[in-house]
Amino acid sequence: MNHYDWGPFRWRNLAGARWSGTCAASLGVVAIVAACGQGTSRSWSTNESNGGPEAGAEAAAGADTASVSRSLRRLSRREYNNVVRDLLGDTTQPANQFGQEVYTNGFDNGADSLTVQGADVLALQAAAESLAATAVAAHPELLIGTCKPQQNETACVTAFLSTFVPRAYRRPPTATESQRLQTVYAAGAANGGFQAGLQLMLEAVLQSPAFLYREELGQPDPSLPPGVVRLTDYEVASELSFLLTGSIPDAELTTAVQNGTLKSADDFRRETARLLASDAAKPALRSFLHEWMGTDQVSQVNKDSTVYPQFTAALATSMAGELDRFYDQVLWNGTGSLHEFLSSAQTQVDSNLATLVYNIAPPSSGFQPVNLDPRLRQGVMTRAGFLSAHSDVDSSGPVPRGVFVLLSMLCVPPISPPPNIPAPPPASQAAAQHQTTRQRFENHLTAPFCASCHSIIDGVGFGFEQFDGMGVYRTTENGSPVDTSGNLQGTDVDGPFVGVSQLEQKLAGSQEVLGCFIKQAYRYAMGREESATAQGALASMRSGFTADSHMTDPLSALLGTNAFVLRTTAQSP
Amino acid sequence: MSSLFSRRSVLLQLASIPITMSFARSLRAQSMGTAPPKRLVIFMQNNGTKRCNFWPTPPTAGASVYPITNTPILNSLFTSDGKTDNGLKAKANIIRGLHVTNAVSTTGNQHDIGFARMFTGAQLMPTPDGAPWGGATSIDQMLAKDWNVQSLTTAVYSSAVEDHPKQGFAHRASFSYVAPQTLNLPIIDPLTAYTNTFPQMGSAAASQRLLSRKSVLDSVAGDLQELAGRLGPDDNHKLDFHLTAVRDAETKLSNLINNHETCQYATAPRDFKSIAPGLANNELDIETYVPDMIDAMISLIGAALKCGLTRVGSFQFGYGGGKWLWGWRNININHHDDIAHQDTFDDVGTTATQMTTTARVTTINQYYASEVQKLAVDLNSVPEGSGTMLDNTLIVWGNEFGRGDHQLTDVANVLIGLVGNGISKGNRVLDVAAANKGQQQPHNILGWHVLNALGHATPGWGDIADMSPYAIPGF
Repeated sequence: MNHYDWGPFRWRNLAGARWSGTCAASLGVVAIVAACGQGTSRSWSTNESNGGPEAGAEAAAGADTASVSRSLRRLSRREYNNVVRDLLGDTTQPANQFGQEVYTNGFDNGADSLTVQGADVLALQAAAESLAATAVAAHPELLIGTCKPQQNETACVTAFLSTFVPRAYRRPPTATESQRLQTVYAAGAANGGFQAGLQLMLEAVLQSPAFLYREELGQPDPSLPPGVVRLTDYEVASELSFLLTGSIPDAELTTAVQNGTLKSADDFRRETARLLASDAAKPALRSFLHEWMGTDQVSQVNKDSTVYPQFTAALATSMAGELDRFYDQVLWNGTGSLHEFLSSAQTQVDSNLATLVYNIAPPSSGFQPVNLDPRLRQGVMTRAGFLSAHSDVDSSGPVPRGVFVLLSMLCVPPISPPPNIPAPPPASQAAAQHQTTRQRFENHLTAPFCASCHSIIDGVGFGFEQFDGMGVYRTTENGSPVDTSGNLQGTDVDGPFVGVSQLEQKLAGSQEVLGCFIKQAYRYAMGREESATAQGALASMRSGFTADSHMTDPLSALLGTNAFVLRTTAQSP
Repeated sequence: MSSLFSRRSVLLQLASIPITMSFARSLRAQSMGTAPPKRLVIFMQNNGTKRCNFWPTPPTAGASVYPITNTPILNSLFTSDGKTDNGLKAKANIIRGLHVTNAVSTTGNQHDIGFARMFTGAQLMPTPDGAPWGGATSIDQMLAKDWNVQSLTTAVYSSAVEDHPKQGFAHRASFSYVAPQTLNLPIIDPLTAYTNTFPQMGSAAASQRLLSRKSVLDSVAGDLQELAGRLGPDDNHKLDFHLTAVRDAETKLSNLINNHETCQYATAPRDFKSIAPGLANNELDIETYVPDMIDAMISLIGAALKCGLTRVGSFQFGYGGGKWLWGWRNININHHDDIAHQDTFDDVGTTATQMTTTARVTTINQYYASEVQKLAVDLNSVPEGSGTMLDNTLIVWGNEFGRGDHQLTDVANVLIGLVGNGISKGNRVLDVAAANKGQQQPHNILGWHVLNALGHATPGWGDIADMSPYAIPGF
């Protein structure tokens, strides 16, 4: 029942200007169309003179600038799990034991919040020890190839340092890094021979900052202004790979770096297309959609069992499974467009979902494709997992649903409420009095104190009232008919609507939603929120993007900007 | 995953083995005549207290210093059985009249202000996405840095409503900050806190394992220093945190390797995560085990202090604006929304609904008091120097609110310990508002006095550069 405690007390327009005050005072001012509609058409050049893509065209578009500073981006738990899978074949997802990320940029990869502090060191140590013990025992070939330590230990150590470590660090180790690893090897080997030495070296690699942080340090480039550096080719490969696959560069990408064929716009375009076509891109882009839609932890959603006795962990898992498949279906088997994302009635369900949520015939086994009734369910916001994630524990939750639309779809975060707000009656009391959730929240709209903000939030959230807190369709609640009429205010698609499908139609036609999606893609890609200097990059991403474009197009466009490969520095190196 | 679980079970089996710790260092320090080290433990709670059942009544109107009387909530702190004085009152000071003023540079609500400002003292800072964050290092981390120790920062989040602060509210995950805008996130699983704090020894292989770990950490520290040189000032605070943590881990290992005395205080807590192995984020979506988890955490903090493994600990009851249902106290409704926000009055109330709210808020705070009491009594039972460990330890029981409906005046703070070693007396209510014609005083008074009492002399703290006008006479 998080009905009024939902966010910073501020609205801001989508161009980045911020202002405080009452909700009413800030409505209707949304400038993304102006901000994002002026970018020139993006075209790839083959200008390789300064080692970066698209310099000339983007300069004209204002995108030829660094939008973020040099930094280290610690691997998120998701990325760590992916990396040890790809490096060591380990699928135990050890990072799930690490502390949960703080989503400062709305996603799990926020550069500012991913640090290593006291307890983290020990958690990383435990994971490294476990991973190393398993890898050395079960998959030594992944570490030293075909080298035979019985014949030449030194050669095998060299093989580890020259083949495995560069993959783990996403660059060749420095001479001093290699020397330290050899010292570690000696300490381990002194007590347990080659295998112990190798294991200890691997532990050190897995705890090294070179492994744990994605380096965005860059190097000086005389063609750039003071205080700006360009990422190295190795760093660019790492950025591309983590963005599009969530993991380390594959062999082909690494080879491109080594051969000097990851420099031009054509090179970037080639590798982007190749990676997006790979299987590895699916989970990465799925994660982006999950985190954007706030559904990445659907499998852990809880409900009040007295209100929703059928909501179980197994059902939550089914909901997550449906969304995985729906996101994949739209991205890779459909048009990949926002329009389809917000309107498709196609999905895949298992027997849990079919019987407990969608009230349709269950499939014979596993997940099977179905077309949901388009009169009731179109688009992602009608799916059980989304609706369960964005609801209260004991009721439907118009506030979290409304807040989601405003915050994540329109990028207009609602503001934190003032104190002393009277709480609505408990859901149990409303049930006893045969009240609907809408009636329960009536005071939000009648009390002037509440209405200035809640008329906007609840105006969106009430449109979801045809679905209860676990996504089951309903026409009545507690014996009273539900009212699914809603109203959008302060947007470019203002006006009344009835039900989620109509809301999604409006959102699919909104320029502001397109602009917000661009921002979300930028935040995910760069690991940070957009600053004022990001406007050029945002414009490049926005250029030509429509509701019918593929949702990966803005990411591809970003990869073509110099903003992607340039960084500012507080002190010229 | 299986390998980790298997490691955990090994550790559990080892729990009964005496643990070699540096506990004897402090005992040795005493025998050599050196002063025992000072320590700090912060308990942080959310959602305010019930004023009429917390604050002692002054003997005369306007009194600013007066003895503590056992109100319904304080009775759970100062008696062990509801009747018998447990000796803590004589070592306690309660600061009244503190007001956490609204931040001017951000627009977070009172939860954000109370939780992030109480122990940082600074105005909140807006992050790029607007979420308010603490604007300075918190006092626990300041002292940990002074004393060159790693703090044991713990919490229990597990909640049937929201097992972590919800999206957009991550800044409420911790009151503790290692730097402006940088949370010091607590350990929320007792077994993790145990295994992180009390590495095991007991066999030649285990000893060798420790030596190997130290070798690896040496290498990691070298890599960090090298990388810091390449990075320059950009983003270097991350490497500072990382290197500090690695150095601390190395120090702990060295202590283990070099000491062979036995610390018998720590016992392994239950593996609560194994109750719900499908959950991936170190939390539980159920509240059944919250009391056991809290007890385990508090016990570990006591053990870590007694074993000399740290001098700074903290325990956080949930997160800012937490929503426990309090089933273990037969309440079963949302603390934040349905209890705290209903507490809009200072007396017991006049309607049945109000009196129910009063009873609930009181019950909740009595529970908190009883948990704080456990650690205080524990430390007060351990002889140290000419007194007990509590005489060299300051326990601060803090609160994000003065009252649950977002009131930031008269925020309830209790100090226990350090009497005679930084604080002159105990058994006092120190009403700084009464001493100033009834005007609420800035909350900085609390943190500043705590810092000074623990040896961190500073003219100002947080957003007040000169605290001298706010000194509490006779503190």
